Amino acid sequence: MSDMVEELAAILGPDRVMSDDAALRAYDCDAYAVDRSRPGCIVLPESTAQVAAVVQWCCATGTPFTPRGAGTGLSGGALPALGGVLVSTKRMTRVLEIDVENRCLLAQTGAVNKRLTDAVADHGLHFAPDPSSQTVSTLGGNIAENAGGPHTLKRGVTVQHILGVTMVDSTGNVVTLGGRVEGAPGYDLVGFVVGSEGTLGIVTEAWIKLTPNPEHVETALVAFATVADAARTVADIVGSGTIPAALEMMDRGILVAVTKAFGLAYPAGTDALLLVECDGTSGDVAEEMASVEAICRANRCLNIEKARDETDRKRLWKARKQGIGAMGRIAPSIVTHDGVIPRSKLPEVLEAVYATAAKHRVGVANLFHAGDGNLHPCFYFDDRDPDQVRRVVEAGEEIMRLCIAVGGSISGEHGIGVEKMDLMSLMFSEEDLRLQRDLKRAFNPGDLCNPCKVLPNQKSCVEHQKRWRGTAW
Amino acid sequence: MVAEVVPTSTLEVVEIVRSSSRLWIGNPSGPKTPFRCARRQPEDTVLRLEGLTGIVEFSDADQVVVVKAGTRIAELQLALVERGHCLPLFGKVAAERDSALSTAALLAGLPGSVGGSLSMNLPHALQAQCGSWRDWVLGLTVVRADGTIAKGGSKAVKNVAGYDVQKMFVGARGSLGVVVEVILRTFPIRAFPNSVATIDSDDFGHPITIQRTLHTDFRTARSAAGKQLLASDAGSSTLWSSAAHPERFAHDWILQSGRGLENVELGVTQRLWMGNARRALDPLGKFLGDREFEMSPTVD
Repeated sequence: MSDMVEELAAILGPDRVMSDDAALRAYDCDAYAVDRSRPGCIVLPESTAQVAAVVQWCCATGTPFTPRGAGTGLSGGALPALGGVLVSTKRMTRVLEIDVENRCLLAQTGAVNKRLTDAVADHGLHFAPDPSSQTVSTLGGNIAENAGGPHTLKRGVTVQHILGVTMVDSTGNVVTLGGRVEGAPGYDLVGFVVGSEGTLGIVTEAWIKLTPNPEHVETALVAFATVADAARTVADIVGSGTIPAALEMMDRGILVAVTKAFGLAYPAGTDALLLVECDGTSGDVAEEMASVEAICRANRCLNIEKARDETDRKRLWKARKQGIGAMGRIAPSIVTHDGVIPRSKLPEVLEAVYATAAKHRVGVANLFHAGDGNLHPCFYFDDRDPDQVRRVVEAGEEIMRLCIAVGGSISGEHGIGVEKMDLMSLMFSEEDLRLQRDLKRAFNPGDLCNPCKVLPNQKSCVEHQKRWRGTAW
Repeated sequence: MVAEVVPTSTLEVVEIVRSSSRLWIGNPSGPKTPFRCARRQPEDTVLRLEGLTGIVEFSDADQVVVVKAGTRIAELQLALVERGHCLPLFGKVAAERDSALSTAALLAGLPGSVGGSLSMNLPHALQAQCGSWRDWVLGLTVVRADGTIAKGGSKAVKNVAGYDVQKMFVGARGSLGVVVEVILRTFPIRAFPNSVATIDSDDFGHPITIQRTLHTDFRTARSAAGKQLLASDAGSSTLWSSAAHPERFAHDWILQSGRGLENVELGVTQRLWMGNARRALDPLGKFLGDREFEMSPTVD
């Protein structure tokens, strides 16, 4: 182990390598905290060349390596291989080039998502992907997970906003894929890399698309007496052909939490809230909002509160953006799932979520991107009680099976990582997984780049588990 | 004697793939064929997909359609339009207007099939407003070179489960496998935007050059094309022209017809990675990647 530190320090400089106990502990997991694994050391490169040097060393010595941005990932994508090298992009945060007229920007992948928007805000532009973690999560993390967020309903997920990447591939070569002008002929390699969860290499720089700020935005918070009314409203809005910029839902569990945490108040008898946002030209927005309001009323909403100005708009969004954090007031632990379902199935699936929670005697709150059917059932429990943990795991799996059964997916934005590897075979057949495996191997033939993630039953993982993992699953 | 087969089921496709060593997929004289680099050779079995047609499932509430790959785009559009939806291809606008636009629609692949269109992934004039095949394909079913059937993606409009293998088949021109079924997101007609594309000439014939530049170079590129300009779209900075050697601009790309292997320009890394993918999925070179993208069929 000390050889690793010495050799990497010789390559990068000693101030770019950490191996003290506190650091190793700090980096032993990401936001998927139930699984921990200590790296051998953490490196903090500042350039693509330095990342390449690290990866080359890892290949030469047979050492696994894992890239990490802010570590806000919820599926264990940045969980290090035991004793491997953790490659942090914390020092690669620069915006390298801004091309306002062509609406694109080149940044190092350690740059925080929100900072990218800040860099171009004066030009009336922003970076569209807005995961809840955006004030902390990095461009690299967003690329690895193909991050979503409330505004993906209208704007698309991260891959729709990445024009090109520079990456260090799994053998330490620096490659450039895509470029400033999108849609070039050939295979969609950028499309395959985005969402590959840091398992094909380490993306160090990316050209991103910049989106003009909408001319006009209107936001409304709509209260409903029942979850069923709110869920039907979502299905009706989507079915009507209106594409709001965002359509989010929160149920009683979240409301109780945010009322406690932020002192926000809602009409008495509210069991579910919808946050709707429409943007575009003022004419379009007026028309869309009118249509949305009519649908809300047809579904017996209790109240429609429209934001009067930007400050008000932020207030309305507060519950949504900070809802999960507020859950800490209700229970010591939470597990948030990430299933996706067809929007027409929303009412019945939500009913099933509550029934499943009741059956397993666990608490559940729901806060999610209702507009694209991406659920985040949030089970709250005390993880010191192993029986509660077991029941939470069972309830979660039941819900995932239901999502697949109705034609959905086991992950809408958090990724598979370690967390959902065992669920992959619920969604994909052996042949489907073989196709994924074959393509993955085409771009990463070795087993050193962020191993044992995403695909289950990789033969090399057994070896890895013996040599490099060894933590309880 | 060139064998030409028109299977009517996925299982028949499997049989054909298993028993053939060189497969030319698609209509050898289709309207987009001149854009292909490869030409059908005597020893190729031609696998046409016209027999794999039909909408498997469509939910207007969920805005997702599952359709067999050989279904004509026009047929799919008609069926979707009846339910208030469509694929946002330029052709929807063109179909209502005059012949010059219809010809342009031809270039957008309107007469083609769903599978053929996504495999060629040619630019279309609503791209800036509505994206393209890469954004609409949520999943697909393919028959692989070894005859096995595999699926990628799902019906979910938002999905990050596993690797996005379906993305690799968009624009792959059939070189990775035979796409037999496609899951697409649809677009409500109510929200259909206006195209800002212009048609500049009636004279659409091959050879054609499609060029996309940076926005800042678009006007200059348009002027440079002069009388050879056929159509252009300011939204996506794309031009269609008859210029065999168009003026080039920084970061631009071109796609041509009628020039064989020179129809497509690939970077070194791109060619390398594409070659790796091709060797992984088609080690015996059945699907003509070497003739389509000049990737060597076997490991050197």
